[in-house]
Amino acid sequence: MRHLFAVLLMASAAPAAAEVVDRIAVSVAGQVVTLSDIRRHIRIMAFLERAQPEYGQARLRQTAELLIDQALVRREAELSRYPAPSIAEIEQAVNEFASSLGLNRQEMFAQALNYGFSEQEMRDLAAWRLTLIRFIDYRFRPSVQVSEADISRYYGEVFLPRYRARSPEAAAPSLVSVRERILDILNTELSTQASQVWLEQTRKQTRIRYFEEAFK
Amino acid sequence: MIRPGRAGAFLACALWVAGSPAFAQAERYNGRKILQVLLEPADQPLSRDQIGQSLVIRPGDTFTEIRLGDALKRLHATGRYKDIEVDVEDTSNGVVLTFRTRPAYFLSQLTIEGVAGPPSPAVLNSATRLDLGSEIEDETGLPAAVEGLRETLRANGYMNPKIDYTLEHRTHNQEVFLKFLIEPGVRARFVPPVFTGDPRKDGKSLIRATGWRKWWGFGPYQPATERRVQDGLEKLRSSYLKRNYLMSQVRLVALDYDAGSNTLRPTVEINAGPRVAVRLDGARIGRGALRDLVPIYQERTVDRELLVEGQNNLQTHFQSNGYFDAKVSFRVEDNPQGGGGGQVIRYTIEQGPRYKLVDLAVNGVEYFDIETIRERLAIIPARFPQYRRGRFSRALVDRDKDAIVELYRTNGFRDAKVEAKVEDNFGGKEGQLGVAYVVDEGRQWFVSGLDMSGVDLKLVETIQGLVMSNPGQPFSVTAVATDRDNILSYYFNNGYPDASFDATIRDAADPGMVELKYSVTEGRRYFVRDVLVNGLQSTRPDLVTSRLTVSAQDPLSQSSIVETQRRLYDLGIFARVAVAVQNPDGRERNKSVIMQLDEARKYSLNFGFGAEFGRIGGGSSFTSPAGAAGFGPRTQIGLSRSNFLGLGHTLSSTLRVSNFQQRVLVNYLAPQFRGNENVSLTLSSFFDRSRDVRTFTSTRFENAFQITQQLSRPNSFQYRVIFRDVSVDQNTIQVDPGLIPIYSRPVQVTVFAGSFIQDRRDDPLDSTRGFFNTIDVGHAPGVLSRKTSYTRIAARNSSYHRLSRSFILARTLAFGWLYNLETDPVPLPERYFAGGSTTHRGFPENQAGPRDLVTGFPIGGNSYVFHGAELRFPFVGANLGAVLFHDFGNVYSSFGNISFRYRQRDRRDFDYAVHSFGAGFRVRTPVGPVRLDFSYAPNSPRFVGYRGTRAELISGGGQRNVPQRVNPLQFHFSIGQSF
Repeated sequence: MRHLFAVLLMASAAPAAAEVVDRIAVSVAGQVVTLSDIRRHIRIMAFLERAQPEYGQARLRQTAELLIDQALVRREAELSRYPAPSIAEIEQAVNEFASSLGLNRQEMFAQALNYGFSEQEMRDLAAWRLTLIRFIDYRFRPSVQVSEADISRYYGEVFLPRYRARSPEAAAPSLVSVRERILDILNTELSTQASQVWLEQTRKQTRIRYFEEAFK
Repeated sequence: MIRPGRAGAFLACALWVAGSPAFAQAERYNGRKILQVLLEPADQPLSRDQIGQSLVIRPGDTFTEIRLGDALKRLHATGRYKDIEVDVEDTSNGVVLTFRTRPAYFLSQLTIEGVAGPPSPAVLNSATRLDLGSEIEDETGLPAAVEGLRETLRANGYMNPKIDYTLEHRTHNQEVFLKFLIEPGVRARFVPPVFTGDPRKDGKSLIRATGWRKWWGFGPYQPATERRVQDGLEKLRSSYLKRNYLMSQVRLVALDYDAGSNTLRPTVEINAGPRVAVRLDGARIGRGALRDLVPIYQERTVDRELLVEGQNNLQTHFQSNGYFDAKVSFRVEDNPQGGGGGQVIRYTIEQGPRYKLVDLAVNGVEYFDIETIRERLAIIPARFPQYRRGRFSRALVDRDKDAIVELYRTNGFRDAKVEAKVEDNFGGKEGQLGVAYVVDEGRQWFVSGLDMSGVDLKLVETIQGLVMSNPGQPFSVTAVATDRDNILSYYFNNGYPDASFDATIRDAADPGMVELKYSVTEGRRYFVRDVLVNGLQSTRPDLVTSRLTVSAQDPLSQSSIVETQRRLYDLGIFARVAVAVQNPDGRERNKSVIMQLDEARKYSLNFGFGAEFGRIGGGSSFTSPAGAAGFGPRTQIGLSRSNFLGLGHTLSSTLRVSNFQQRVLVNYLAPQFRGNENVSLTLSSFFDRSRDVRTFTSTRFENAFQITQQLSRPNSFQYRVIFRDVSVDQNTIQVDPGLIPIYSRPVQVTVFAGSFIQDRRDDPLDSTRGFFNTIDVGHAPGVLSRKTSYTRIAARNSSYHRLSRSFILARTLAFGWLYNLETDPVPLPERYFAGGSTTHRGFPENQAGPRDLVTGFPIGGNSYVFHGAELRFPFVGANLGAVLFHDFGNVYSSFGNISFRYRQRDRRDFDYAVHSFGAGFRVRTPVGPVRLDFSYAPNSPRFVGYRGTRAELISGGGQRNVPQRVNPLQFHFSIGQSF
């Protein structure tokens, strides 16, 4: 610690050739989203899409908004003490993540490294995705009510037309046989809608401060 | 289970937009060596230690983007920074990082000026939605605060307020002082409201009901305030309720503002609805009681649930009045007189026979003594006079059963059960009831083991000392809850505001045993960085600082903060003591404590009116030396200046005028003298002209210096020096002219006195147990020209004993002795005068003791002994009590003449004990019982008096030796118990 203090010299001015590498971009109810968070997220998205990262102003702002949502979810998940995923669950999620990209685990790690992400960062990413899923599951799913009428309506108005468009010759499955599938779809849709409503409300009630310098 | 793809709502990728980054890519420096870590500006709000703990990167480390981001977040999480930016300078040997910071500012003082309430300062403060200690962001103004104030002001009739504010930043402690300057303008007035809907009343009566127009609806309209609006609506609702429109709806639809005339026109929608009448068949009940018992009146709506609740309440009411079999039913009928949809709610009561609860038994109790159970019971067997039929109902029985079970469960009897058996015709007598509670205690459960986790090793012993549920102790959920409260209180008071506690209870392998597991999460420990006191205008800072129990480096303790608040409020000079922690959400270890003190108004004026009546009055004639029934009005005006010289002292003056007394008093009170909470100093000076002793009128000028020292809660000392100059108006003295020169001597006396007071009463206003002792000793050395010299002692011992649940025995013994150190008699004003409502109720006020042998007027004595005994008990209901009392004693001519003799030897003998017996009533009020006592003194003093004028008395005329007697029947009316 002494060593650290010795070099924590207070500067009167920054070196002339210095450039800003990181800063606070947004503060969300005491948490912050840094410029490096935004950039890293852009790289993640680029990795998922196998594209080159792009850091334009609009892109920075758009990504900042996503990270604000994540910060709100993270805070709520912490306050509500939702159970954290176990190591085994995280490893399982990493494998599923890799397969969703059409890669095996080692290939995914190797490609992620090209985008600047270590294995641990990929595990953190998987852990966060699991946390997010659980949050939606625990927080919103119990409040979702799907009636038999909703299922019938979806079957008649959405499922059958799509099925017939895809397989005009085949006999359509009965409502009974696809009921559970439709129920799952409707539950998912409604809980996602509920999470969006919650996010909008939470944003209104939360102090969010943007630091415009980060987006110039 | 939701599929991972669902998280796409938050991870969804957006459109690609072309552009070039304005900042350097941090990952470009990944792997470079960090040469230096610098901070700019040099003056940082955190100490080097704290910065060191927050920054996780050090010179020599390898740069990574993630670690830099973490360092930035950790620094920001301290809450001390508003903005942080990191520069990097690339050199051939590595990189130099510079953290450029901007400090955050926290609200330390919020003042709002310019508004004459309502709204009150507290309401305005709350309207800003700004919390003391929290960060203030002022770049974008304070729109929410300004809007909140504007809304509140508009709701109170200030429709066009001009709101401005100033911010004063203090960099040293990152404080910001915010002052709102408001020009509210003129408050808008009401104009005639518009009533819509179906009010079924004319406009005039509605306006009168609202109270929005002065002088019962005949004067001008009132200025509009939020409270007046709400009160007006409430009064409208009440007016409908009174006329049985129980389903009426009154709603404010609009408040239209007319800027030209600065007026507000309320639009109120009223739908009176049908009239609803409530009728009782089979029994009678008062209208007020009915409204209390049937909740449709309070709820202003009629539904089945409320009617059933009313049915139960009525049933309980009749049961508790002895009709234990009472049954109540109801039906709803149309009411042809009630308008469209009018209803009659008809409750039918079958009272059944009236019973008397004569016996209450509790069986099966082994663990507790019966009294412990009985004192928790709500049902009461019949006893005279308060509960002539007892107190009983099914609901009370259920309550008693729950109370007994709860008692057992808190003592480890998890399986305890209670049954109630009600026996009709108890003892073979019709109309008598007996109730027996049969207790099945079951097994007592004990704690077999306690596993505590999460407690710092250094605190384990302390925390274990707070735990009740130790192995071997009876188990109860209540004890676990108490443990939780004790443990958390300890943590909260020792700097762990985030501490949490979880308890797990599991049956152990051994029967009747449970295992407990306490898990404590201590959280971060916080300390006090500094105490920032703001808002002092005229108060000396050291007055405040000497009362702080919070100081730098101490653990942040809730109890210390509350104690400081209490001590500052106790000074009586602050209208508000707001305490907050600066930067409450920041994760810095040391927090500043902010105190905003709002000084109270310095001047206060008070008026008082009152009266006394009883055996007082009389006048300058000789006709009623023992007093006559009279009435004396009294008025008082007082002016106080608090916080005198900024020292927290109070200077006050009082003028009291009645036909018996005129007094001017100036008082100087220094509470918590010189910072000592237990010492107060009083300087007082008064001029008094009084005729409370009917024998003479005295003029008294007195200065007193007194120090009161509170030794402990019950014990205190008083040290006094009194200088008194008393003279007696010779034209008013009602004694033998020959004695006037002696008795009317003016007196100048300096008394050195000390008192010890021991007060262990449970309630000084209406004691039911404990005792009260005082002893007062004074010495007046004859050092002044118009001297008298004596030593006096006065002592009192009172005790209060609870004989049973309802009966209290109170007794008091008072003794006084004045030892004259001169040869001349002690002048009248310095002698003991007593008798009356607080000493001996067989006498009128100050009428006990020796009397002048010519005129019969009391002349006081040199000793007194009084004893009083009172039996206090409830009489009717909960608020009317009664007493039976016996007082005896007297004022005696000297210590040697104290006698407890019953008989008066002759009309010149006053040295005997007068006895009086009596009864009285007590009405319980918040300021103590209102008292009316009647007494009879069979041996009240007989004496001789004089019939004639003063001139005749001096010239030897008039009629002497006229037999007189203090009326054996006396009455006294006052507030407070006799002793």
